[in-house]
Amino acid sequence: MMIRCLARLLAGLAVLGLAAAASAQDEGNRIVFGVVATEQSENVLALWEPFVEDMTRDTGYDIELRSAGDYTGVVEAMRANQVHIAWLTNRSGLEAARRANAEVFAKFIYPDGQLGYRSIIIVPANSPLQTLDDLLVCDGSIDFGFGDPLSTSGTLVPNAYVFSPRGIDPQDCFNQVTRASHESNLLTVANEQLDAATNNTTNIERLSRTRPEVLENIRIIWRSPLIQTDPIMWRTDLPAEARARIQEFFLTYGWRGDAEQRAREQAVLRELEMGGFLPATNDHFLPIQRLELIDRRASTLASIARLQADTDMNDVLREEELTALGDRLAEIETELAEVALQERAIATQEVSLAIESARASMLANPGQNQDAVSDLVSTFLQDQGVPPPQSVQLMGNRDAEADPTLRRAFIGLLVGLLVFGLVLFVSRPPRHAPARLFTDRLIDAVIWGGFFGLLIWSFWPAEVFKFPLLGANADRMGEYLAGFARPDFTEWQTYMEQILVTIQIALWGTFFAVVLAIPLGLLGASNIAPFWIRRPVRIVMDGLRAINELVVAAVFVAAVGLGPFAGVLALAFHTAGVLGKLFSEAVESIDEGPVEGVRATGAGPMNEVTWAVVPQVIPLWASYALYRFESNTRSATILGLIGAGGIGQVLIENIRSFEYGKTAVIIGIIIIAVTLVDMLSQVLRKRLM
Amino acid sequence: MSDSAPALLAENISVTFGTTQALKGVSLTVEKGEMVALIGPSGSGKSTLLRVGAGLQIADSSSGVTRLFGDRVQEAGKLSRGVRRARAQVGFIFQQFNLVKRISLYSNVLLGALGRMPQWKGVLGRFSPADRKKAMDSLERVGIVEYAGNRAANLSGGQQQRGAIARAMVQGAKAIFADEPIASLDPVSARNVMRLLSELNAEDGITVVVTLHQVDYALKYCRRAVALKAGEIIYDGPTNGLTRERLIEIYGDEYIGVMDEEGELA
Repeated sequence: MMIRCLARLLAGLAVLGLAAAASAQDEGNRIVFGVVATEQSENVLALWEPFVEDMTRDTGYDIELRSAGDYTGVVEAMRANQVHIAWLTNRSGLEAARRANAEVFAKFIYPDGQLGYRSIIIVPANSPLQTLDDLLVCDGSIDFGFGDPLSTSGTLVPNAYVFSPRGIDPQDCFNQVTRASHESNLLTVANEQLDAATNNTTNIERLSRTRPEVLENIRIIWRSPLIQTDPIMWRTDLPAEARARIQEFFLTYGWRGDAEQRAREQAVLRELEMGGFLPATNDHFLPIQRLELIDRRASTLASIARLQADTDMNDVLREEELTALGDRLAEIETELAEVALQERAIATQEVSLAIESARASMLANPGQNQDAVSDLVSTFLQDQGVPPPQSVQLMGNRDAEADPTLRRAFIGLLVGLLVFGLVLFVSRPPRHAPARLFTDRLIDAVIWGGFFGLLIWSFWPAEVFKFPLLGANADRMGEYLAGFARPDFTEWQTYMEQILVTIQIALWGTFFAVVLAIPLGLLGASNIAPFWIRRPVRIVMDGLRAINELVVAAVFVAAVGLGPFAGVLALAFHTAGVLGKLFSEAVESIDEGPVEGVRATGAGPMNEVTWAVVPQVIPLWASYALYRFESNTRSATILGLIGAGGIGQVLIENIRSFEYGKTAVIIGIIIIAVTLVDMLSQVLRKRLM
Repeated sequence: MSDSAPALLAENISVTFGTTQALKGVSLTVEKGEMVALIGPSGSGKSTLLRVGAGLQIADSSSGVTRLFGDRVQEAGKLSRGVRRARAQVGFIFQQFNLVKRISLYSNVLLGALGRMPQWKGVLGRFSPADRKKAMDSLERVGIVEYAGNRAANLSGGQQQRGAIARAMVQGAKAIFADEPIASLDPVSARNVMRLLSELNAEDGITVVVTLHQVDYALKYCRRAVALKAGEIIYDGPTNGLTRERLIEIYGDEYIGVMDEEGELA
């Protein structure tokens, strides 16, 4: 079944590929190589640079390197034929295979020859938890931390191999379930703020180099089966000759030529935390497909349990839906079995090759450690021994107590009423004072009562009760911040270049925004435009404002590819919404006198606007625009996330790789730059007023 | 639009703000070349009447027609299509001058030409050399040409009001409606502005309708006075007909004390 699906998928992709082939050839000699800046490195672009130079020289194609902090950017760009080869994560790679006409042609191996990494569960070093069973007692006493929702090693693998097969819902099992990055999970567990959390071996290795002291505070209680390394993919419509040359380049890199060349290329790979590449196909995604299937099975099981528990439902209807869900479950199980079969076949092949080479090396070096084969076999057996899925476990041990949200809402209401009464009582007019209308006092009391009621109601969801922890754990914050106290200036020149790019992005973004905001601001003003124009214009402005820059940027990536211009457009549209609103408020607050003065001369409405409205609002508009330019300098740093370039990308990558010394320098540079922009704009604003 | 059409014709004008009726079916005709004072206590409706005349205030739908030199301004609560052409014939002077503060005096005066040119030319600021000369000549005539390049915001009240009159002259106005033109001015500036209006009336034959708080100015500069009280016209005739009794009727009994303190008028 899986194979058939895959075959159909590939066939579809091939047809699409033929259609797109013509356009791909128009691109001529240029091939764009997209990389995802995950937590693997602190400056992805710089690290890939020598590799890409070699690729350009050896393949004869003009290889252009592009990076993004987020995989969606690369996948979308690949789909839009803006990126032709890409280094992706397993999950985004599967997405690319489904949506972006892409297929796997290689995967990398680690410098020590490892074929992948493992998801782990860590606990504080002095924790009483020793085994997985200790963790899974499910008495609601343990706080557990997952990775980001889409993180393979932080969420999906632990779910698929620990929780789902045992029929355990983490939400029911633990006291509290949080989601955070690997980095913050590591630190939180080391600080004993969490009882246990997920992580991965790559991260631990990196930490052992950058902050080994943290490792002493944690212990690993579970390791997952091997997770494949990241795939290298190409668009299937790449010409055959290009594919051949590129694949040859990847597979031989670091393992060709004389010793000198090998050493040089190995050094490049080591910086990327790689040891070379192996051929691969879309079979690479089998484990990730298994994860998806397990996820789907879990949600189907949950639906079944919900249906069974629903007493209000018509029996016939329930039976029908249960049958449908049962069919779906059976389908998923079949697919899972197929995936498992294929996985097993591949794993067996791989392990037999590995055993063969290990035996050869044992024969060649009889003196060395002789455990290689036993280690391989025991790991292989562990990977095969995933506990079998248990039968449906109905919703358990939940909701023994009444729903706390209701109780909390009630307390909020009570406090609100109390404040209401108090305000009403206190606002009685004293003697020798003018009387106040009772309705005025009533409104005051409602506003204050409502305000305090809402505050109390929001107390628990916002977890404000954790406030005392701030004081109690001040020393731990200090420890964390201490990492920033050793600034690392080695790459300051890069940072200066990048901050300039950021300011340049902000400059163009703001310029386009102002151009858009002028008509929006005028047409959105109640003293200029009639209702039927004003209303839609305001809705457009609200929409522009409400949509996050990152989302807008992702849309534009499809058209203009990864890079600063997508950031410029994202800033422009978002800022146009903000400025449009500010501009129209400025227009609404003008002195109507001059407008009437101009109108009285018999001038038309356009002339009223140009001669009486615009001169009055220009200083305010300019001042708003300058202010937004400042804040866009800040926002442009965020856009680094989608590969818009600039200092933001460098910042994110450094935070993700625990390089606090460098992060401190970058933050310092951003502060200086924003301050300079602020000073400049203040001088300009003074001149304008 | 015959030559004999009156400068201002307003028939049965009513204006309601919320629940208060500012004008209650007032009719007024001002002939060409007249200089008329509109007097009356605050809130009597004199400013509203003037603004209805220029189409700056829309009258209630029960009202009759308003015409300037025979061109329809509004009727039955609706502005007429040709309101811009009708307005262009009349210069309007405001108590707060209503110049655009951030552009130069010269530019403000030039704006008087906007009513006579296509809108797009106005938007681009492409005024003709003839209009530019006219602007400088008008500033010369009102006596403030040396401030032409200054921003309006930097001028005194009297200078701004003379600028507003210069704008009306660039407009080629056949009439000037002045709404409390001297209420915010010092005595010397006030006299200069009233003299200027009177001179334009006498020498250029420009019709002037001016609302005034100070009765003595009305007596000094105008031959005809129209008095309003609570939205109705209670006197329309020569200024020398404003006897002590009439003024008491217009401004109320407390006016007796004012007249006794300041000495008998007229």
